[in-house]
Amino acid sequence: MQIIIKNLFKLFRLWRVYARMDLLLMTRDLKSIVLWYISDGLLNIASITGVLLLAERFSGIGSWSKYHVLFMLGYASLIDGLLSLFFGYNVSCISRRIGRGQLDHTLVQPQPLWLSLLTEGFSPFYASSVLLPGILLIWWSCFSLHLHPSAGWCLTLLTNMSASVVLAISFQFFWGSLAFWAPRSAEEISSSTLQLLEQLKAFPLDGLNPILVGSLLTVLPVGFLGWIPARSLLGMDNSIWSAVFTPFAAVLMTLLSILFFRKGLRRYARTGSARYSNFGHRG
Amino acid sequence: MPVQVRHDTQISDIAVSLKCVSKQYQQRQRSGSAKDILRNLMHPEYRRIDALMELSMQINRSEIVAFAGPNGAGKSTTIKLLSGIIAPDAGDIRSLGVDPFKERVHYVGKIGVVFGQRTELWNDLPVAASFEWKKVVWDIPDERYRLVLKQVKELLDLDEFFQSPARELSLGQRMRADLALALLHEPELLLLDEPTLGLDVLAKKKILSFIKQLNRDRGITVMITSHDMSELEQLAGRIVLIDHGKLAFDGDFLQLRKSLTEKRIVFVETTENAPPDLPEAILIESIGNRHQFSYDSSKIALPELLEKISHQSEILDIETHRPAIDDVISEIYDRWRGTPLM
Amino acid sequence: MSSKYQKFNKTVQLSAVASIGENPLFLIDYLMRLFRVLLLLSLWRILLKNHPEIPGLPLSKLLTYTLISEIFAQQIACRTELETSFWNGSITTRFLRPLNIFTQFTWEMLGTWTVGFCFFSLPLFLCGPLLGVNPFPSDIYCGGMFLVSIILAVMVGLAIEYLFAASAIWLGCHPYIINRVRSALGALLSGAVIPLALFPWGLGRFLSWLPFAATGSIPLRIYTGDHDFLSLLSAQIFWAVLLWLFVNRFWESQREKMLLVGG
Repeated sequence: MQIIIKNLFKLFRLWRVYARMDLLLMTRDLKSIVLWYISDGLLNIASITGVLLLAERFSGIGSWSKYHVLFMLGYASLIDGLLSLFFGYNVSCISRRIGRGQLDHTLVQPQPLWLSLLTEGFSPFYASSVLLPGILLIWWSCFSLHLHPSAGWCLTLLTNMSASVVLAISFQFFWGSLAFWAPRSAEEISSSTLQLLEQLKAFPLDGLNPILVGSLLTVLPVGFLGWIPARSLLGMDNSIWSAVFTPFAAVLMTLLSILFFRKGLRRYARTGSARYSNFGHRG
Repeated sequence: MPVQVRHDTQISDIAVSLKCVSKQYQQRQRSGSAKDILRNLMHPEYRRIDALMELSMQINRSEIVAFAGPNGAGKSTTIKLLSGIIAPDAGDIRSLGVDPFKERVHYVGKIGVVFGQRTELWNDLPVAASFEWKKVVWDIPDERYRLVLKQVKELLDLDEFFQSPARELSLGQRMRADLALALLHEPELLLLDEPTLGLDVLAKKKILSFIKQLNRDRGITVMITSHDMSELEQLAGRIVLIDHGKLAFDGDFLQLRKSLTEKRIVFVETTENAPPDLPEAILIESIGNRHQFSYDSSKIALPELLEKISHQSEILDIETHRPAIDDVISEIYDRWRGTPLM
Repeated sequence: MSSKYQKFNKTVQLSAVASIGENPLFLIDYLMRLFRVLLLLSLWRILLKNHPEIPGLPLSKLLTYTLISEIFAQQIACRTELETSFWNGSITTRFLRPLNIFTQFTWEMLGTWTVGFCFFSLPLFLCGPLLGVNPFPSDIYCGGMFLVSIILAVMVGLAIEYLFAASAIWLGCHPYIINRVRSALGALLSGAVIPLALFPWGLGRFLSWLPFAATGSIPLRIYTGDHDFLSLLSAQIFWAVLLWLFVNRFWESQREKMLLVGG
């Protein structure tokens, strides 16, 4: 119990130091800040515009109205933002760290690996440009749909958001662990999976082929990063199952990824890393 | 600079112990040609590399040990094993009383590691930020941090670039900063993997004298790998040589020289330009009236040699010394490879 | 002395071998792309089920458009190793090779394409009918013009790639930032993921005049039966000439700064 409390305090201290470093990095000169926020702004706009324009053109997508789609986009953007907030600096692209032999830098730190990975990516300033649009979209869609969030609704939103983030990062670690076995081939696998999650999470999956839907809830769980939580929160599916589906899936995915990652770590203990590149390491 | 025998350090107990440690890697082999792509994918070939083969050695507390060997000998693997990053395939490793791999979290808080080819500094942030980061991650108390920081800044002259981004430092500055970073938490054991790689003479001197001072003042145990033998000879009282993962030599530098050769070098300045004819010695070089010979002192003593020279021409000046340690090591490596000596 | 063809062949070969890696895991990227195309195909079927047909873009053509867009995704995106070279400083050593800098990156890019073609594009083309999609061009003329158009698209795409890279140097910002922007804008504005014709408010018509459309939308429109070859190909030629003129001058002006950056 003492160790848990000690680690918890250390977690907050580490978040603080990484936040400070994130701020230092972002503010190294005025041009960097401006360029970063402009580029991120453009990126955010580009990532949601496609689906938004389709929803506008077709007055919704399938049984989803324009504002339902907007809500889902906002939710998905928020998940993106939270992933960037807690797992920036290639923590979410863990295969890069493993494939480039950068894990050694983390292993020589006197703290549990999970603590390092949970904190090293903390970048509140870097991620703010992604978080804010998501919050705005959710607010706008709630306003347009005349949704009046209750305490229970907010709790469901927070639970689902946490579950979506956990699921996404577990998914990244699951596939990223392949880099333990194939550091060269799998080095960029995390960026491929992350890109796919980003591209596909904004599409509603209603009416799709059941096998495809099944795949998008298992092999590539994009359905849990927007569609399923949005259905529950927008009242399109009022069953209890829809409210807990995402957290349940998050637990399963987490267990799977922990198993696989630990297997990879055991292999790493045997083989180490013959590659080293400081490309993308330490900001 | 004369070789110093460093038996004046406190040799109280064992800091590091390796017993029959073995480590193997598998390296994938590919031909690199397009027509072999499918074959390489379906039937991959591997080459087994025995990085370490039943290596046994001990390092006592407060000792400075040079760890050397040709490229691919297993030096970096040993450092990684001692850092707790990887585990051995066989054998037992105890460092500071624990298994480095099994008790990594607790263990790495007591050691400092510097990899010459890698930096622990945060590239785009000022050096100061990396130190602040280390303070938190390594749980260094505020007071100790302030004290140690002041000391390392002074000893390694960090003030001039402490606020500069790490990316903009010269190699020497970066190494000094990395070394300071590794010492910030006052480790008991310091593992240095080629810490002076690419540094100029002045920077090397600074770092070496700093390490010696640390060892003297705080009794830090140091294990250092390098290809610069003269640097190791200045620093360490003991040298461990490994070759192809096996222990090849463990002793001090004097023993190393003696074990291989009683070769000596003599420079003789005579009145004649033609070099003296000496069957017992090998003429290495002759420029004008200055002639360089190497001879085996177990076969012929220097006075005898000089007497023979004086029969042929008048001796104006003599200079004698042992072969450079690099030459000695080079000879050893050649012997290991079965290459005929020059 | 090696002929230019031999140099080309060797470079492409090595690049292809390098992109495969040491085991079949590189195929996972293609699996991901397959998911994406399956999702998009399903999405169009749902979207257009209850809506009147879009003029000039019936469902069957839209599905073909999406399939061919994915088959030729690499050619539409035109990504090279430039960003990596800037970041790790190896751009300097590139200038020490007896080859034009654009030639080097382009040949290496072609090497990676051979792998993508063999392991993804061709199999997906052949599986088109199984997915209920006609993978063939509208007619033989469209097929022929498509080949011309895709080559022009690659020329425009490469110009954009080199332009963005030089912009990163000019702005003094991390190549990664510019690269991300380029990927995002390219995906949206090229019409590769969502055909420009589907954009509301006449936005698609406006975007079709921009250079990004020349990299994706134009060749895909030709493939799916747009016979206005003259104006479409002219637009591509216009952008190719203009952008390359600009790229050459811009790169020369940034060259010294380029060699001081990175690593």
